[in-house]
Amino acid sequence: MTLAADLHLVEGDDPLPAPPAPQVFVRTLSAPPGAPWDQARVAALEARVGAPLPLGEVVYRVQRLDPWGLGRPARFAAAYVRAEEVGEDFETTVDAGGRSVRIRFLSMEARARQARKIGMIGAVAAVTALLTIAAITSSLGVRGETAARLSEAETMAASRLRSAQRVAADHAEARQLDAAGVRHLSVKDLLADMAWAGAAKAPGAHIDGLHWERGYMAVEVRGDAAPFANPDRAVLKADKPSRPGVWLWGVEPASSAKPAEAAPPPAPTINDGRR
Amino acid sequence: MARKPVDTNTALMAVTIAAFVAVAFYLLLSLVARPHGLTTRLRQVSGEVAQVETTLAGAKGVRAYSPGAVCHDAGPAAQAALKLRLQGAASAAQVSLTNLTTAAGAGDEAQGGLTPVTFQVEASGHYEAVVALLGSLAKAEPEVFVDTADLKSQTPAVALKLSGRVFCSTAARL
Repeated sequence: MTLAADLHLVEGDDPLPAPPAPQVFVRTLSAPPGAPWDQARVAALEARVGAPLPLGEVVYRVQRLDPWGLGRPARFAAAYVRAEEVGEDFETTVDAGGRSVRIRFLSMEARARQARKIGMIGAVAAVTALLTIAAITSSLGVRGETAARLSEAETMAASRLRSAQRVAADHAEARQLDAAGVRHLSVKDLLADMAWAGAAKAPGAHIDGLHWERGYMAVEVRGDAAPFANPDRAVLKADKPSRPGVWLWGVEPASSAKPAEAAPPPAPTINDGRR
Repeated sequence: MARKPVDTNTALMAVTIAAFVAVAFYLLLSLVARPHGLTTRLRQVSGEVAQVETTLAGAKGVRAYSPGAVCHDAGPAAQAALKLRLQGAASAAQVSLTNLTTAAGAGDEAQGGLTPVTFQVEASGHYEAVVALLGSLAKAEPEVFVDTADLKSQTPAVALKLSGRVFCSTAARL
């Protein structure tokens, strides 16, 4: 006996018989008047409680039958199929409350996949929203910083402009004072000349008076000896005494003399009877 | 599970839309980051800086006077203020004033266009006190300018005769 003798060709192989269609169990539920989401929640709860099999063995769907209306109860269709009969994806039309309703069931894995997909999309949307908010916040920060810097620059420019205008006005006034011919006629110039006379006064010189007129200084001195020792400014004695025994000595203005060392502090130049 | 191949046209469209969205978002961010009236305000600041440079370029040179050298009061007020200042300085320096007069002078465009207020002071005291009075006047604002000064020895003091001017301007002080 050979093995080939036992083999025979089966002609017209019948296709595998189609699996039986899943049995769908349908219930009609009603929810009291309320907000649409509250009604949906009530219906879902009732569908779970009234499931014909334990929830782990059954896949169910709840679908609203009538459009929502204010103050009206709602009707829902709850459809159940054994989880093992659903396969990957099962869609069917059922009759519920006198209406044909199309319902789609997904296997646990398909639903998990769909949930993951929705989760992924949500995560991407959240990240995008966060990035957008961060970018806009950053732009607003840049705007604030730029505005603050601009404001600072405006304040500084305005302040500098006021300062420059003040400097220009001061210079204009200085030019006007120069035009009035008072450049070397300040009290400081008078004091500087008095300080010079005090510093340059010769020992033993007796100065009775000092006359200062528009920068020119003259001193009245008793005796005909020179009142200043080693003066760095030109000193000129009058031809004749102004009073008997009193001579007038003229001193050239400081502004026309050679630059000299800083003057020492003022010392008494005119006798006031104490020395 | 077999994946569907990506359609080229769909991918191209997606990339184009993404690029448009990116450009629009960039423009939106640029708009958000830009303060209101930036260009105008920057132009104004630049104008003010240029004006500062121009103004300072016309005001070069060493100043020979203090910033408050010129008063900005009207004639009678300037006279009264000068009188008060001279009396105060004499009192502080313990110098006795024997005569004090002030008078409004006439402004002369040829002499700078400022209005002078003239004064004459006669005082007596110790030399140091007279020097202290002059020192006080040297720091005064507006600046006191001296036309003539006479110091005479008068035992036991010195006598001072001082005549001079301060100048006032009608221009507003900046």
